[in-house]
Amino acid sequence: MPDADNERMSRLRAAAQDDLPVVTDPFRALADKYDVAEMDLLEELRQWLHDGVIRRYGALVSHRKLGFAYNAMVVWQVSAERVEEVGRSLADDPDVTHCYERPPAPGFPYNLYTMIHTHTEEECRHKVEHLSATLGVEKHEILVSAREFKKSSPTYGGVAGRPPRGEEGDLDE
Amino acid sequence: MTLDLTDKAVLLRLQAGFPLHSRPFRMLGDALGVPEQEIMQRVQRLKDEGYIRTIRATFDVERMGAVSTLVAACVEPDRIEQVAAALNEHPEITHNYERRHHYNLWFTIIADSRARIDELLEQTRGLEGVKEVLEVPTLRRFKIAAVFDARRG
Repeated sequence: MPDADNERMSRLRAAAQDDLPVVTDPFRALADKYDVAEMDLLEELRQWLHDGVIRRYGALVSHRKLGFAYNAMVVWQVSAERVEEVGRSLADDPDVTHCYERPPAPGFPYNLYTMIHTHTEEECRHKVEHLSATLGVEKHEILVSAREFKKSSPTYGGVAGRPPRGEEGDLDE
Repeated sequence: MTLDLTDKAVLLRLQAGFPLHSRPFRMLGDALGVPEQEIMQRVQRLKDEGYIRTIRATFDVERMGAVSTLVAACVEPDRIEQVAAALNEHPEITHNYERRHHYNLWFTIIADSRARIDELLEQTRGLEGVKEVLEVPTLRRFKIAAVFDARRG
C-alpha cells in the first residue's frame, strides 16, 4: 500500500476510535478533525462493520452506573459434544455478557468461560444455579474477583498511527 | 440523576445499531419519537453523568493482526502484589485481576505476535512467587461486546 493510502487509513482508524462529539453532524466534526471526508469515514465504518474488522460502533457504558454492580467469572465443564449447544445457550442469557470456549487443563477441567453481570451477588448465585439446572451442567465454579490490578484498552504495536482499541470488556469487571 | 424510560431506550440504542449516518441523533430521534435536539441533550447529559464513557468504534484486534490469550497463575499470596505490578509494566497485559481461587491471578495479553506472548509467559514463570502458569486461549467466542439494558432489573 502506498504511504499516502497507509497514512489516510491511519487517520480513518484514529477517527473511528475517537469519542464521537454530540453535535448534529458528529461524523463531519470527526472527519474534519482527522482531515478526511465525512462520506469516506462513514463508508469505511460501514465496510469495517460489515467485514467484522469493527465489532461494533456505539456507546460504551458504565455497567456499574447502570446498576450492574456485581460480576463474576463463572467456568463450566461441558462434554465436547455439548460445548456448542451449551455455549450458545449460555450466550443467550442476558446476564451473561461474555462467553468463550477455552481448552481444559489438568487440574482445571473447565472449557466454557462466562462473565456474568448482575445487580447483586445473590442474583448472580441464583442465575448460576438456574443455568446449571436448566442446562444440566453440574460442574462449575464461580471465581469472584478480589482486586482489580489493571484494566486498560488493548493496545499493541505493529500498526501505524494510533493502535486499534479493542473491546475493553473482554474480561470486564 | 434518575433515568427515565426514554433515557434507557436511548442507552440501549446507542450501544447496538448506532446509525452510521450523517445525522445519527436525528435518526435515533425518529426511531424513538423524540426530537433531535432532545436526543442530543439526553446523550450529552448521559455522558456528563458518566453513564456513557465514550461513543466510538471497537476494533476486533485479532482481525488487525494481534494475538490474544488469557492466563491463570497460582501465586504465593504474599507475593501477588509484586507479581501483578511486574506484569502490569507490560502494555500488552490489558486486564489483571486477583480472584479467590487456587489460580489467584488472571490476566489477558494482547500482543502483536505469538512469540511475544511466549516471551511474556516465560517471564511470568520466572517471577518470584509464581508457582504455576496456565494459559487458556480462546478457542471460540460465543458472546462478546455485551449490551447493558438499563430497563432490566
